[in-house]
Amino acid sequence: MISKALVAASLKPFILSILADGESYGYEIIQRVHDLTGGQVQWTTGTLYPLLHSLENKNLLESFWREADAGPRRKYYRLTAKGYKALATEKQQWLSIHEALLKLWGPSPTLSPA
Amino acid sequence: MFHLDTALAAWRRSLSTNRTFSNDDLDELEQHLRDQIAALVKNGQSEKAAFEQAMATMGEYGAVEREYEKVYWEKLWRRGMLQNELSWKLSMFKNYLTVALRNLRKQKGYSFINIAGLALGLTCFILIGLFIRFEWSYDRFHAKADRIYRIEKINPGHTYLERDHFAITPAPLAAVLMEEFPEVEHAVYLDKVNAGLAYKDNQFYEDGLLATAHFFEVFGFHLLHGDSHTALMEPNAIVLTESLTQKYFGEETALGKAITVTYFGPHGPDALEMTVTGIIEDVPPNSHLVFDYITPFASSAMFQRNRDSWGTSTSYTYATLQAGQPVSAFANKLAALSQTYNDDEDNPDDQSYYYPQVLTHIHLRSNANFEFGVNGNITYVYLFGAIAVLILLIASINYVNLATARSTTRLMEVGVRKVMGAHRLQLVSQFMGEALLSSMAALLLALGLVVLLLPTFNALTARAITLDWAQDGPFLALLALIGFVIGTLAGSYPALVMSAFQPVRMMKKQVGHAQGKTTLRNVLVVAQFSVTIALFIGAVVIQRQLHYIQNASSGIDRDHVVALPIKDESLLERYDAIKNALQQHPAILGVTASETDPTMIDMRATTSDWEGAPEGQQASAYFTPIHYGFVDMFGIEVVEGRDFSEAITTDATEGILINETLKRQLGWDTAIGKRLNFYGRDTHVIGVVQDFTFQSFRQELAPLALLLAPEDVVRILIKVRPSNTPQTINFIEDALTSFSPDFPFEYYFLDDAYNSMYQTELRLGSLFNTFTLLALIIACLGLFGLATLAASQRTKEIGVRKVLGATLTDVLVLLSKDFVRLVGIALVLGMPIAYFVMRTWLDAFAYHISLSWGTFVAAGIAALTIALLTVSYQALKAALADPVKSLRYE
Repeated sequence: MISKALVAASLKPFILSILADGESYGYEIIQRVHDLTGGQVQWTTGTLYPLLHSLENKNLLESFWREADAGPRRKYYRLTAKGYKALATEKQQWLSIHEALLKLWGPSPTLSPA
Repeated sequence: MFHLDTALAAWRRSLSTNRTFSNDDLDELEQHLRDQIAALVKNGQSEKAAFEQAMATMGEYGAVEREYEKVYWEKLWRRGMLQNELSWKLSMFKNYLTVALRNLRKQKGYSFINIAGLALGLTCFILIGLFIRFEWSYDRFHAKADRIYRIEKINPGHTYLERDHFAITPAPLAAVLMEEFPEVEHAVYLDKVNAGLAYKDNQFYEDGLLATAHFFEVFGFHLLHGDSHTALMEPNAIVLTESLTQKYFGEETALGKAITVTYFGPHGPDALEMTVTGIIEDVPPNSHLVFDYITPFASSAMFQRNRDSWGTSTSYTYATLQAGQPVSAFANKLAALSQTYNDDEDNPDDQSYYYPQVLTHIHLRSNANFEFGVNGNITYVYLFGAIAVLILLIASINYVNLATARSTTRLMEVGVRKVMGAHRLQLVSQFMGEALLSSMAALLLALGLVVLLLPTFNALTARAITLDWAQDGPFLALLALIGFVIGTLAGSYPALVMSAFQPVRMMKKQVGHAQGKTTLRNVLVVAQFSVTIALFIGAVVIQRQLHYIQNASSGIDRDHVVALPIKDESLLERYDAIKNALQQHPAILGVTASETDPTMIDMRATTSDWEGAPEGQQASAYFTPIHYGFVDMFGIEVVEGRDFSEAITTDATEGILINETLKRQLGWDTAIGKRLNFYGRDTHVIGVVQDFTFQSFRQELAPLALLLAPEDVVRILIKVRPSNTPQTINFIEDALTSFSPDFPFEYYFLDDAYNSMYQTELRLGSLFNTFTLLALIIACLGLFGLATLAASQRTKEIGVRKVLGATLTDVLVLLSKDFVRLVGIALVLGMPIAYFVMRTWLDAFAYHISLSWGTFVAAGIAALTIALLTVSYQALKAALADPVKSLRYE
């Protein structure tokens, strides 16, 4: 499992990146993260939605309701222009940390020391 | 059977009362749960297990709410709904307030008892608090207050009026302190003086100070005009207070003007022209030095006596130490000083020594002989402090008790609120808010009462206490804190306990009569009444002792005696003519004269020469020179021999009257005709008078001698009829003024002077009475409230009992029994406390009443009766009520 702190830090870039692929809703976002990380990153529902709302409050996302063919309506989120800019910044920050760590660990890092 | 829809609905409801979740939020969350559960069910899980897992991934309990709370305000802000939210909060607050006020109004009786009781308690607390603060503030206004010392003389083994501390010291001391003690910054020698001041038509006697030049270096009295360094340099200088300046000079400029000052000494008056060299602010009321003007000792030759003598202590020495100098080292040096300077040849092995008394301790902690004025007493400060705390405790107990008791009548309301979705926090704030509202109302009421009562209180305590809103911030803050704490305590029981009950049980009234809480309430009532009973007994004992002091047979009839101090010495030569003139008036029953007041004879002389005196033995006795008729006019009984007689001329030169104690001390079986060398005279005893009280009741009877010395008397004493005294006084004034037109007429009543010795006790008595009465009222208010409640809670029971044939008495007993038992326990606890405290107090008096069990029994019966009367009103009302009415509802 990945540590709680790292999961928390990765929430925002994950959300922004997933929504950059196209609009989505909360359950789908959680599922995609689950699939992408092979179940290594587990988000609780109680932290995802408040963060979505908070990002919406900061105008990085916008939300809209969509009536489903069957069943109740669903709330979708998509990136705003400001959201794309924020994603670019996030990306840059994560990559620079990633690169720095790579320099330390060598060109082809292994998961466990030999 | 598990139903997903039901479970989800229940989950939704649990969040729906929380305002941080909007409907949209809940829709979104619900849809999420449904997606998740559907996926899990597809994987083969049961609906129930899927629901539980979905709930588990929601996050820890309460975490969701917290997370949503974080973004809530952002959301409101973004959507421009902040205003809405605030107005919602405000309307909820308005709702709380409305309910609180409605509750106060609906239960007028309770509200009154609650608020009035607490307000009374707080009023006492504030008044006593102000009094203590005032007592504490004495002499602290001097800039150097913490390093000013009054030098006292301690004379171990040589007691005078049962004390060996003397506030007065020899005159050369101040100068020696300045010269030989580098740690002394300045020293000043000062004394009280009463002189006639005259400027144009204004002519009065005024109290002032004689002082040496460094007065203003030592003390921080603020000079408004003039130079503090030179103001007292010239012998003819005088410094006046602002109000004295106003009295004599009005709007005129006083500085530099001449004013006539007339001193009165043993060798006649000395009238001097003095120049006003300074004007100071009025002496603050919390100064132990009280005066209206200051002049130098050098102003008159009559103050030069004993100026160089180390053998006579006549006035007060004050010194300031350099900042940072330890007082212990100074005290040690000072103690050794009396060995260096001792010119008392009669007493070569004098053990006396000097001691520095901290200025700020003089008022409350010093009880030396010849104090400057009447001091306060630290014991009484502690005593009143304790009373203040106790009264506040009684009032707070009432308040808490009533609030908790009353809360049980609101079970239905709380139940309904909870059913309607009220949060625990909302209920807590409702109850807390109500309690705080009434405690703050009580505090405001109390402050109003304090402002109203302060003048009366000042008259009672003889102080000038003020409450200054601007300057007393910390004090008011403390009061607000006390009000807050009491309100919180009173509110916390209903707030926390009631909000935890289950609504159904509350509405069925299945809770609220739990046993544990009644026990707590009973303990509080017992505590309250123990304190009240102890105070009550204390008040009775103090009253009886004061009555005893003022009325006990003292062997001397001092009532209705007018005393006239003689300042015009020429009056003495015309004494017989004055006496004759006075006796013309039918209301004047007798005229005599003496040197000291017969109620406070404090001059003492020592002799070793009397008939049959053992070798080397000394005897000392108090004495006063008197005129003819003294013994007769004061009704002093002559038990052996005779009184002084004008017919026998030798009485005036060699006669002496002694009291029984002196006779015993001299070891005589019969005294008449025995020789006694006393007061510089070789006398023979012509009579023995019965012992009479000639000092404070705190002192044991002491040996006393009366000498006939018409040339040494300084006051005329006139016995008048009790009726029409003002007219008689007018007659006396006219008569005296005709003999001595240049001197203002001055008089006082002897019993006033006597009572002034007990000022502190008399004041203590009346204050104690007042506060006890208030404590009693407050405690009874509480009892009344509880009785009302008990009666109302048992209405139905009483109805059933009456229907089944209970008599009026049965019901009365039923309702009063519990309270009487509580008061009974309180009696058992309160009495011993009162007994020990009052015994200690009485022991301070040489003559005091005995603490009889009668007092305690009487106080106990009184307390029980009052408690019963309080309770019986409600009991009677309940007992007389028609049972049909009480049984009909429901």
